[in-house]
Amino acid sequence: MNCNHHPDDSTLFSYGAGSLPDSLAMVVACHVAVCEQCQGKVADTEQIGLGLVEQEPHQPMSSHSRDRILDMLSEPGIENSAMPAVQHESEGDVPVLLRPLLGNRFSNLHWRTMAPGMKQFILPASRGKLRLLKIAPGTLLPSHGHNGSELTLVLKGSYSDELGRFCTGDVADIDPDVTHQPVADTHEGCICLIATDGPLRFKGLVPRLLQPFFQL
Amino acid sequence: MVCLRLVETSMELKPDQAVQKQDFRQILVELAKSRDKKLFMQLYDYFSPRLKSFLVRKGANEELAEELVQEALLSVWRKTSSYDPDKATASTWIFRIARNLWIDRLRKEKPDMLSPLNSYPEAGYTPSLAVCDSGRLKEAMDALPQQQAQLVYKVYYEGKSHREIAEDMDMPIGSVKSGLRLAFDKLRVRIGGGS
Repeated sequence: MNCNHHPDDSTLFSYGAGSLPDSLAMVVACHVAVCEQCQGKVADTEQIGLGLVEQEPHQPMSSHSRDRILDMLSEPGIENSAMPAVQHESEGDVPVLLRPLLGNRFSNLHWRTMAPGMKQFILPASRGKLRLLKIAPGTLLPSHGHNGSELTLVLKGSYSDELGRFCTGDVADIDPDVTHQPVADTHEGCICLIATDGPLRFKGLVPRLLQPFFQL
Repeated sequence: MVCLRLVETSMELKPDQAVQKQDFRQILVELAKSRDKKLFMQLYDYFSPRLKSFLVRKGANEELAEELVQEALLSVWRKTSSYDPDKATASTWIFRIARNLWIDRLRKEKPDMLSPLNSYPEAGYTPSLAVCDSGRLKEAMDALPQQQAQLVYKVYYEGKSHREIAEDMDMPIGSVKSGLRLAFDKLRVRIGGGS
């Protein structure tokens, strides 16, 4: 896929190192799955990571672990217990990585209305927040900044804000000091996967008051 | 790119690597056909202490690290037939499996409901065939300004997020990111990757 906006190199760097909070890592994984350019960079981070591991003293495994894995290799069924292959070809608009949780189609989800033209669906994450946001055509989101990292991946449609126009596959990797006000700018509306590592900072009083109710 | 050729083949072997002269890529390819446990244990002996050190650095305790190492290497055993030697070095492929297991493990709530990253086919991951020697990487690390080296250290060896690093070092997240960006650029150029 040809994307115009990618995660920042520092984000890819931390993703490759396995050091991004899982909420942010999920957004990056969904983008990297479709973006060749970022696949190349992640592979570079892996090379660097391997080189750094080589410079470290290695940690020996405890004495029984070798026997244990040999036992496991002999267990019946070990060959077939691999993860079932992910269905690719089956139809749907949900990214393959999210299908086990969301099913194949966004339209089947139980969206929760946050405000006129704005619905969300919260996904599990242990560090940070992960959510889907569905914005009706022409809807303007409240202007906000961030107290941590925010990564947004467009899954359907497109939106525009002060930083540019973001289409399907694009990632907005926003620094905390940036305040932005996205608007869904096509007739079909826009669905995004958004991870935040730290609460949002709203300018207006009403969105601030509503913040706790929507886990923002 | 020249990184990690020493892991793959053996140019500048450290003493503990002297026995590991095999091409791990070959071993993986061979394993898919022969299912030879002895051959697999060569991979196991080489990679398990390295994966363990990688995972402990990420914040796994001893027990969890060992559990994930076992899980990662069992995964290697099962998946050898999907390994494509033209797309990735053995070590990149094996570490990617371990890293994805680690990220999956971090998702504590309903961990089984999201597709494990490990079952996701990563088509066309390009330059991982490239291999870099650890000497050049060390030089590149030494050449980094102190603060950038510290950022890299915190990401790789302490497993910290940008926000945690910003708090640790008392600097804005934006500066953490720009420092990492610069460091990544320099390291990529030195190991022959980046543009």
